[in-house]
Amino acid sequence: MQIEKLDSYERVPLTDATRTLLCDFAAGDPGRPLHRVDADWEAVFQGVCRNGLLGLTYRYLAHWESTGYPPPEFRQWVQQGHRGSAIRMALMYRNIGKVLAQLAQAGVDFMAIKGPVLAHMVYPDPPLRAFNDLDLVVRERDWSTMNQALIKMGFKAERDLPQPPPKLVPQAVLFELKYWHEENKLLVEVHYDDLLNAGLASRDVEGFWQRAVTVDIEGVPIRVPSLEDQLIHLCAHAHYHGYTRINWLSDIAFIVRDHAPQLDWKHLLETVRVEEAQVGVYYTMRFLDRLLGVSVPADVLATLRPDRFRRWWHERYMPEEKVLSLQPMWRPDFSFYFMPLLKRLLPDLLVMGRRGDKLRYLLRLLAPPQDWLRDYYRLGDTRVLPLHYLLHPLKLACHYVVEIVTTVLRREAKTSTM
Amino acid sequence: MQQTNVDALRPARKRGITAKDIGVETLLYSADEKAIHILNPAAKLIWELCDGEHTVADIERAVKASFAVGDEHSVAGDIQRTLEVLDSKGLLEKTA
Repeated sequence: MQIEKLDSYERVPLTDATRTLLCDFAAGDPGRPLHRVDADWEAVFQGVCRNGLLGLTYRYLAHWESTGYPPPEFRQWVQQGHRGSAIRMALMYRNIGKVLAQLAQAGVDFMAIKGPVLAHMVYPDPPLRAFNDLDLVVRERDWSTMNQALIKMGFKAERDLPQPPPKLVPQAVLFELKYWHEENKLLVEVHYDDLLNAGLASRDVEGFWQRAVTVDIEGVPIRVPSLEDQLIHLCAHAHYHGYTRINWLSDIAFIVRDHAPQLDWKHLLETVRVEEAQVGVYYTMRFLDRLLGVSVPADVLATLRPDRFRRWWHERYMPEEKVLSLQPMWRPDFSFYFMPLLKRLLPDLLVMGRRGDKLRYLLRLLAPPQDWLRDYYRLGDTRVLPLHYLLHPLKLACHYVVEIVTTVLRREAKTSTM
Repeated sequence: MQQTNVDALRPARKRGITAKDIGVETLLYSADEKAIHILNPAAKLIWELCDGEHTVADIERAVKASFAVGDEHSVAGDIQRTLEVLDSKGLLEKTA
């Protein structure tokens, strides 16, 4: 069976039967009996691949020996798919092992997050969790040290920046920079002080570093965020991507269910409060329960619950029924940036946290620092700067008006053709 | 690998080779080599017993005990061939 797409960021239409089975596999609990449904097993297999569930499905089927359900051909497809994935992961681990060892030797202060960290720290067996790249976190001040170390190893940066771009406000950080190693076919994503996909640097960046723990990955001791911080990060990440892949919920299910004794909920709630990350964490925990049947303590969920205003807007922008259906859906980008207005800025301001920080950012946007303005409009000649100070707010206003008018016209055209 | 006193040889895995279980099969690879090797369950058992302690005769007994092998089948020959392949791929320490 040909795999159409591995680890997709887009949802595709699927039947209720496929949805049910994907949720069973994603729960990562082989003890739970599989729902008996009349499924199109080819569609289930493609769903397994798209949602990054080959490893968990393989483990599930190995636990439940063949009884004719699921059919033998599905078992065979999963077995072959998992074999290919495991070989790909072995190649990946060999390459990331070298990168991690060299970065550690070079004395670069970094944390690893997501794929390989979850595979080693959270999953019962690393090959169960496949991934496509290596995600690293460095402090913004270590930007050039990391940049030079990766370039020295043969990586090529996607943007050839001599230094981080100028900032509008101190909390405005570059979210990530991608580096590609052509020979090893390895992608490294370097993230900076925005640890929660918020669009702004985390409020207590040092807190994340102080709470970090050490995990052995490919024989190299690597710093990784604490389990609580990883949980917050994973919730924020899944919420930001609109729950387009179910294995992100599997990661969280393993932490909540299998690592419960190590979790300090009080610590987690305190970090969520400081970072005002309630919305992403609350909705992810809520959807985790409804989709995979894995719940967090009721008092934790009650503490995380955002106010009525945010909940109302969240339901408008991301209706629960549509999220849970796993069907394709329009979704806004819940990560702060001043453009686009209707898909990003407005939904983020109405729903997400840190409104004070964001309003300060927007005020500064009206009268930005010189270096930011020069960089934004790519101005070589500083004599035209005063003119740009006058035109900049007008340009922004025009941009927003054009966006609103275009959206309204598009919506009207859509309604009239229906 | 020499043919004489084969049974008394104690083959040893080369250091720095990583072994990863992928379900039924096992992957072998090293940080320095480009190739990845895939072992079936019998080859995996042989590989695991290449610890410098077990002799080829020990390995033969272990394989016979773990797998259903007909009397007419030459297990010793299969083990010899497997060891030669592992050796040719640079996965075993050179024997004296």
